[in-house]
Amino acid sequence: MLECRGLSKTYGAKKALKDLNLNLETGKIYGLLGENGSGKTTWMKMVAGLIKPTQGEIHYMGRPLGYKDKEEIAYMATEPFFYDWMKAADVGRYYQDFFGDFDMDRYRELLGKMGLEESMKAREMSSGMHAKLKIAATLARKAKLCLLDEPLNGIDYKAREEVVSIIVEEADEKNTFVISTHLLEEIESFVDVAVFVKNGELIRTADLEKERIMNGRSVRDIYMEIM
Amino acid sequence: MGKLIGYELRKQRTSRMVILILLAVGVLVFLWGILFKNDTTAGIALVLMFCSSMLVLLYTGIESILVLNRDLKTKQSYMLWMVPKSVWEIFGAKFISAILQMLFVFALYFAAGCICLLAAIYTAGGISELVDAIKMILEIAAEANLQDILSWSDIIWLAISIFLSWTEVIMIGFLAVVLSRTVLINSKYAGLVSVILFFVINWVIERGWSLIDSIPAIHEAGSFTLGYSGWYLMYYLVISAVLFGATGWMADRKLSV
Amino acid sequence: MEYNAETPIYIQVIRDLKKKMIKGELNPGDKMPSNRELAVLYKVNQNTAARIYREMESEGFCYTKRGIGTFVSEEENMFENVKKEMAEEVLRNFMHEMRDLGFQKDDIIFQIADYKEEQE
Repeated sequence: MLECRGLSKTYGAKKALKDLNLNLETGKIYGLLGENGSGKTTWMKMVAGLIKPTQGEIHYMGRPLGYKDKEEIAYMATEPFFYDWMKAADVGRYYQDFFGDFDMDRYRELLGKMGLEESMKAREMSSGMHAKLKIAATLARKAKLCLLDEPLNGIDYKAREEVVSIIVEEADEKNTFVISTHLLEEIESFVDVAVFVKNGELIRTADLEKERIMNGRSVRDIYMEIM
Repeated sequence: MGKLIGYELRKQRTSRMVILILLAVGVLVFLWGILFKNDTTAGIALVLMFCSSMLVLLYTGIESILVLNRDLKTKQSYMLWMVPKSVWEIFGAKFISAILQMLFVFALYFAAGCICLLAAIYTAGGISELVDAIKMILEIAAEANLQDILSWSDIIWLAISIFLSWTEVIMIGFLAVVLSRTVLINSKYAGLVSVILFFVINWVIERGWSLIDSIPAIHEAGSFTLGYSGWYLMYYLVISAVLFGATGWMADRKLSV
Repeated sequence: MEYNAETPIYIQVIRDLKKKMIKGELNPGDKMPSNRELAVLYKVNQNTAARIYREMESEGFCYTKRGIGTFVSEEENMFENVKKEMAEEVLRNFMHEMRDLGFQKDDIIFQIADYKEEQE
């Protein structure tokens, strides 16, 4: 569904991404693994259309990626990004105003599941609550491609469980998820393919279940070996 | 587009409220002054309101440019750029919002001025005086309209040229900000350079017009009382289109948030 | 559920489901969770959930009614077999570990006979 060919991004002298080639298939959950600053966020923002590549091209559903594809591609950034004046209800309204795939009832349901109320102000939330709010808004979209940048960061154990539950509930044969994280253990039970990135380069992709069946290796084993 | 404009206007709502409240206070102080025959207070309130009008209008325009800067630089930029809208729609919405914001502020000042004027006439001579004054103004207006169409077109022309030069300032501001976030992104002095660019582009455009205006045929064609000229209109419309085109083109190809 | 990182996830889930059948938490003829529910329950993706049911079906532990769902097998001796099978596996591992410690079968039987159950 998504093809990246020779993607590069340079900031001055710094190369954030180097000649990255990657194909994503529908119906799979990808884990994007690598240290901070390895280029995970840069790649995600490129696919989300927020960053223009210095070189290379991205094709979505066989066509060059364009702004219209944002209707089907959801991106959730690590940092808080909602407007200061927004309450949880405003966030929902904003998503509903711009994304045809947004489901307001599902959003309210997710807010409830995570113990958030519509009258809460995004700016006054703790980082954990804010992380949950972002997740609720992003996952209430029925996006074809869902890019989650560090969705498990900065939230407590219980909230992580909830977030993971929602991800595996939403991810089916019709959509694709990419989850960046450095918490290997949290994602290894449900990620289909791990994508290892280091210093802006794609080191390797690995089908995790296949690795366990064929070689008895865990994602951690592979990580330790190649990174 | 409508929704984009709505959210853009929301970003400057606080300023609108502050201006509204300050003006309301100004008007109330003025009313209090003339009601209790405290001419000094009324005078100061009037002068302050009058003097602030230009500054506030200027700030309103600059704020639109600052909002754009924030929408490119901070994490909140994701909100705007993750929506499935083209750069043209987004910049169009920003531009229209900037104009609406200005019109709103202008209307506030106009309303405040009218209230003060009517109040002054009313306290000077009671209700009948007020009615007479309004009648007189209307008569003069009607007469002027019949006898001297030119003066009306002058006023409209004045409004159009203020509007155009305002448009220009905002467009140049947008372009300068986009330049600082695209081709200049890796430069340490992107902010400073974009401010300088803002003034340079402004100057170049003014120079451009005076060059065109120095062509005798064009200057002749525009020699009405206030310099009314189709050429002037044309020039600024073309420049606006070029500025908008350059901004959108640059953003479409290069902009990363 | 806690997973062993080196063992295929689908195998670990199947083992857990079989245990539930033996313990009577899943009875013959019971409707099993849908793929989506199973995914949420075990924190696996839906591909793995589908694979789990495929495997279990081919082994005869469950069957699918088109458009309705997956059900626990109603064959009588199925659970006995599973129980035996799993007991054998546990025993095999146990014996293996004990031999590693140097015990012979007789010693082990003696020890088991002597073993006092921990009070719970």
